[in-house]
Amino acid sequence: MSGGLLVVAHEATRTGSPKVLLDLLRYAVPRIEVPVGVELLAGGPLAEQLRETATTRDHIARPDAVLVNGALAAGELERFDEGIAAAVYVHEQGEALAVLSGSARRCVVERADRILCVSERARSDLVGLGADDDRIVVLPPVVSLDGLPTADEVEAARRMVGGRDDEPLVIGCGEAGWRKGTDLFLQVSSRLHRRLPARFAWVGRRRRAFGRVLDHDTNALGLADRMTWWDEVPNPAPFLAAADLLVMTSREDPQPLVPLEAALVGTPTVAFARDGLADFADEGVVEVAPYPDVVALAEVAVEGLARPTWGPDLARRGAELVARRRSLDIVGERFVAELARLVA
Amino acid sequence: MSVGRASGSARRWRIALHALDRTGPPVLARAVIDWLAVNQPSDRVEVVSFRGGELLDDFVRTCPVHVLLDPSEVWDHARPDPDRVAVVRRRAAALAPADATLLVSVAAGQVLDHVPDGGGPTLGWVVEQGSDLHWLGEPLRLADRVDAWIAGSTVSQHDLASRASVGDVPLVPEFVDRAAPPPADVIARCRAAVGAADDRVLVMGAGIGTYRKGMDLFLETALRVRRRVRSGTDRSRFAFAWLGGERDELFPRVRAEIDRLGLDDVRLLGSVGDVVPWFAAADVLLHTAREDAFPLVCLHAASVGTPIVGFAGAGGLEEMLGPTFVGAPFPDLAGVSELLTDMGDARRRAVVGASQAGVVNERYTTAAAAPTLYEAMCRVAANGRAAA
Repeated sequence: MSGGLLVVAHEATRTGSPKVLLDLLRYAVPRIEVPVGVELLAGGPLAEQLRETATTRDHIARPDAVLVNGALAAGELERFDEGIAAAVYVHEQGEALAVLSGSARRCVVERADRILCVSERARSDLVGLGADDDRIVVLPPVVSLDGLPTADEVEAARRMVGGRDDEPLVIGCGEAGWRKGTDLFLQVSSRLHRRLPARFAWVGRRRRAFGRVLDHDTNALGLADRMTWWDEVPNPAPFLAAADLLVMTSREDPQPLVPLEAALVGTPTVAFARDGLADFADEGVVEVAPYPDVVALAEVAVEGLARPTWGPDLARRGAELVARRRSLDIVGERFVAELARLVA
Repeated sequence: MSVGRASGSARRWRIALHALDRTGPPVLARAVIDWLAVNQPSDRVEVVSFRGGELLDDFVRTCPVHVLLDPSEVWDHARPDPDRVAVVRRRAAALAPADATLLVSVAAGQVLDHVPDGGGPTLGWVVEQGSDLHWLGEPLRLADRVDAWIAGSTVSQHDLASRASVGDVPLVPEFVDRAAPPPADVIARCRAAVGAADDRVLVMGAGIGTYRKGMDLFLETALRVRRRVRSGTDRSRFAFAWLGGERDELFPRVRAEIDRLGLDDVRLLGSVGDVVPWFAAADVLLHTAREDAFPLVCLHAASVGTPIVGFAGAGGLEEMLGPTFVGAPFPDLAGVSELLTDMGDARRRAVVGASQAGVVNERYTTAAAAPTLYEAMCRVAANGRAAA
């Protein structure tokens, strides 16, 4: 078939950019009046849900417009005629943009009629690459939950990761690796454990090679009976709600979503002052320590947890930020407007 | 120098290695061969290495060398490609008979499936710890195939005993050649190459770029020390440099992190041919390995009087330095950073460096420790002859 909008996504993992795309497509597709097809370049647990947002399962050979999700996949635009309107939703910034392949960079800078990006910092990086500023629009990642978890779901999640009623549960979340600083999470946990009888858990996929490092450190730190590794879950909200504290030890995290998701279920976040987490600290949404000062971060956590209003205040400010700028109502409407403009 | 020349009473040794790279076992084997050349000139040595590496050129200057695999060749020990097995065996066929085979590391046992008979009984010198001992089990089953074991450290000794029933495992500590202190002008040029002015405290780390060697922890310690210094806790100014690791997984990540943080006083130098001048140029060696049974880099540094700060409970560093050990329990980066900051005091560095050098030079130089190894090798060879 021809005509309509084709959305091309580079992958369907439960990571930030595919999740954001899924939320936005669910919101936007019923609100635009053209056929929408979804093409995935790689699979993942969100693949079927992403495909289900399409209004047609037919292959759209010659669409009216193409939206590519993620700058890494922008090179896909090369296979479409110049006459087809094109947009890229750039979730990357900084180094991730600097190391783009020649083809991806060319398609973002020269081919795309519209460039959606996640922050002013990303806009500045794109202009630095040579993109016209007037083609760029900032569309921050939407933050949404599939409904608030029930008390039973929260309780079950807490039990699953070893949480107890009489001990605080400290959680980390994301793909366990270098970028998310999972090794640093263990160091912070070790420091916290000296001050608090806490339980610790990490929710997210672990790759085998780095997993061996983490297991080594867990044992060496004497955390083996207090630390639980929980694999990737379809919906992290019950786990975030079950925790007393979310600790983000990312080395790189341009657009962290988890602290805001945690805030929506009432859980406060402490983090290293890196990238988007530092921006959240400026807005009073998370409390930070300098990277990679694990001692200072543990101290921030201990002091915070000792104050009854600290956690609820942080979470409330996070929820307010989402309502102000990152909710589906707000970001989704802007996304609909961009798609309508593209197709028109 | 007559290693490689046979004589009537000469013993013939087959020394097996996992590779000829700049990791500990090849460096250790090189020290053994040098000692044999001087002290047992009639003995004959041949080296067989599963993989090659940058020390190949160095080894071939001392004795015959047989490298079995091609560079970067993928090898599945459980299901090796029969055609490649035939090639590898042809390469090993030229090995001469020996009175005994010394495996320098458990990983060196990878050659055993391919070398011809006639290598005599096998002596395994275990210098690894933890998961690196996996070669003891399937598919190589080294625990059943090695005739006698010795251990380079109590950590290796303990880990070997906990993984396999191998009987008595005597301790034969690892060692390095005691190097002559490099000339002052060489040291000065090394410091200049790193960009460390004379008034700076140059902290060096070294090793392959892996989590096991703790290259990430080296960077994190550097960040912490910089912060302490900036906040006025200590007036010394520190510079950091890491030797080696440029082909390993963690190197690009650490490098990117250094760039992102704008740390112009943390340098990554890559591999060097001889670490001794660099360690002599350093004011402190910071050893941040998560696991290291008996780190030879620390022996090299201590032997030229450079003090070492590292982790306790991460291998054999405490055992090596005994009461002169300076460090904190793994992975207490705050503790290590504090101790490192203390090293801003030149008098403290001199005291610690001299005391650690005393221990290392007395016990872990080739002259001090190689005779014990040679006795173990001769015992195994004699047992082989008796059995024959």
